[in-house]
Amino acid sequence: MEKNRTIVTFILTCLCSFEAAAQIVTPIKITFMEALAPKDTTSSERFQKEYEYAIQTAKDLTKTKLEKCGYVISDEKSFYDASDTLQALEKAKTAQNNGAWLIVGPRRSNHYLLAVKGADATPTVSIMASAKAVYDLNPLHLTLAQSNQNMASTLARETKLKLKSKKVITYVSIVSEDCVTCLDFAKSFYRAADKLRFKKIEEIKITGEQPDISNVEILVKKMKPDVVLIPNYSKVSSYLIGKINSWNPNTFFVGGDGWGDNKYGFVHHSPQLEGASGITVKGFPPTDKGLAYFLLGNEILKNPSVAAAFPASGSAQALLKVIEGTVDIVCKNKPKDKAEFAKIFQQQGRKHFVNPWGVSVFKLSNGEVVFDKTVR
Amino acid sequence: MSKAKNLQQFVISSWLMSGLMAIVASLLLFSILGYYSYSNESKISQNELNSKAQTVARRISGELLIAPRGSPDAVALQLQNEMKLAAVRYGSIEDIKDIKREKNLLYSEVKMPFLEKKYSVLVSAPIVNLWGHFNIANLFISVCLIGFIIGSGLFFQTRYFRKHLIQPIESLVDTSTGDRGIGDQWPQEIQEISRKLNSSFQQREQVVYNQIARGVIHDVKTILQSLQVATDLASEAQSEARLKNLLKVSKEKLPSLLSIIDTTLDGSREITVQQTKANLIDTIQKSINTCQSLPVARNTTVTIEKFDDSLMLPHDPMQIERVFTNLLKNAFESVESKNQSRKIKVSFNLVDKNFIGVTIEDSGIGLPKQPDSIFRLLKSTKTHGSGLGLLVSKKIVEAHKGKLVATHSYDLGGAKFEVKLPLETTV
Repeated sequence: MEKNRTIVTFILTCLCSFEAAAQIVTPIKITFMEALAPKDTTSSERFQKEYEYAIQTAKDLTKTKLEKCGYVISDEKSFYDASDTLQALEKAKTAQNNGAWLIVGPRRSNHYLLAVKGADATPTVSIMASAKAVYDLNPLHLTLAQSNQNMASTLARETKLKLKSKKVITYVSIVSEDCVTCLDFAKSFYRAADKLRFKKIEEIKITGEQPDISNVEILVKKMKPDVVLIPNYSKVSSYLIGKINSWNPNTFFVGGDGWGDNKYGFVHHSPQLEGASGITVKGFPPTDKGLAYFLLGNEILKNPSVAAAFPASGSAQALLKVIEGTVDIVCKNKPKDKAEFAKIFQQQGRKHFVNPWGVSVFKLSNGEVVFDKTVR
Repeated sequence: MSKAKNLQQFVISSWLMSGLMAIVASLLLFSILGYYSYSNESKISQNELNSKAQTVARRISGELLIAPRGSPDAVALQLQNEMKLAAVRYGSIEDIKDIKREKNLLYSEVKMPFLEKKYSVLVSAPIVNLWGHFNIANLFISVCLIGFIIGSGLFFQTRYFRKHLIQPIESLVDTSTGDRGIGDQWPQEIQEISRKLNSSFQQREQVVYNQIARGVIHDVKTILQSLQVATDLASEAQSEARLKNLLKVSKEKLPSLLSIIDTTLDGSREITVQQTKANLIDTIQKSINTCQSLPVARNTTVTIEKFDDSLMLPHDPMQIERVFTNLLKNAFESVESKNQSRKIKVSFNLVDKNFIGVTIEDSGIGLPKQPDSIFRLLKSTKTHGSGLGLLVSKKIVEAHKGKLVATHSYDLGGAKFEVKLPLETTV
């Protein structure tokens, strides 16, 4: 009897220990880095709130699955002043020193490239950096953006379709010299446009958000180009479109993914752009279409109240995609620590962290930026 | 005349004071504008410049770190414009050290973060010259502004005085005669003053009437009564000698009557004189003789102090005689009330090379505290005085371009009148 009691006690102790062992979860430390600029709606406090809401939604939706796998997401948000680019490097360095498994990097290519400099041994994913230099990085550093090459080719083709009555389409490009991805996009567009026999009149480089464009005025009034390429960020793009449209209302404007959408940015519903027309391309479709492309997105769409509250920006969709990809990697490979995670990320990252949405074309019409179609 | 001069000086000094205030205020505003301009320009201290240099270094470093993709030149230019810097230069530490520094610029050199061993940045900003902000344009603005403010103030003040002070006074003058009543539009105080003035004017009219009645009419009546008595007696004259005596009375009284009438008329009209070169001492002597024959001249000693027997100068002997007669008669009447020491002194003196002075002093009752007031119309110290005598005397002397001055006599204790007449013909 005494012997039996001992055996029962032993069995119970083993069972308790096993259960305790099974409840140990490994934290996956993810640092979300983003630059903020209060005066720029695309990086405003409202954007920050929606950014944080998207992260929390993704965490909530993956919590059960992760726990079953023995993991939990431990997230840290690291926001910094967009005008001080070097902080991207410093913040990334700090995150790496604090043991972050993954850094979800800044959207802007310049910032992301600096973040990679600061955390070269840590896996990083940018949700929007699209400069060619970003794609040239090693497999530890990835982006969910559509490549400038894809977007620029699509833009050139769609421009050709819109202006099919013109035998030779003439264009001028105005590019922000201090924007790496803008310069890249412009180059990609030139190549694609060359193939379609567009005629480039001139490339004008500018700096700042309200640059001196007296030379642009002379050129536009004299040459009257069919198209003006403005592959810059939202604020300066809005300024340029407004000015050029007042000099020549027949100008057709084309742009990269910096113009913003119908929620963020300065082009949509800008009073001075009511008569302007053009097209722009993005790596993300509108929210309802974008969410449908992946599992977490479908989960959100199943719940109408969550779907209604979910932020409408491409950044929010990209954040869901990043977290879904991370969860997939850890649940499938069960890495013990950061080093193992980094190794697996390097090998499998490209499968999970890739833009699934194709290139979305948006029209600028009657002062509104509206979705037109997705091109794959 | 004197009052008008003072008022003119008052107006001039007001404008001068306003001008002085305008200058001071302009200088004050000029200083404030200059300092404000100085403070608001891209005023930069070494600390501020160092801080800007740090920012520039970080931004350019950010671009250099992502080379060859970055655009450090574009960023440097952009920051130079945004931060209002004279120049932003970056390069190797050695190259930056070799750059020559200019005296009129402030410099800050900073090593690039994360690239400290290779690169540094040099930013420069103009040294702000304080005195450069105190320029002609600011001075012009200050003077114009303050001049406009003070000029407007004076303009509105003048208009205010005109409307609320001068016009009411003019209106008061009009209404004080009683011909026109003051309107209800004026303040209560002004209406009250108007009523007082009106009342005063009416009282003055009564005083004038009383004075004339007491003085001129009384004198005329007395003479006329004498003449009437003489005439009545003449009609009943029983002898030729008696008739002659009565005619003598008429002969003596009639000139006095004419004299009173002349004096009364002269008080209200301009006196013309006919100057001839005559002995002034003779003229005075006639007056003394005339007065000494009067009953009031009894027991009064008249002394004459003259430096020469003859004093030939241009004057109207008849008119000047009237003056001295009036002055002497007043003096005799004044000393009459004194029981002892009835003295009158007539003296001559050369005031300067242009004027001679004749002084008549007495030991009588003297003059009021303000001696000049006795020259006013109807002002008489005598019971039956018309108040015209001294006024007419003054007019006669002034018609000779001379002066008649009344003061207290320190020698004899009574009144002292000095007649100053020019030595040369002036009329």
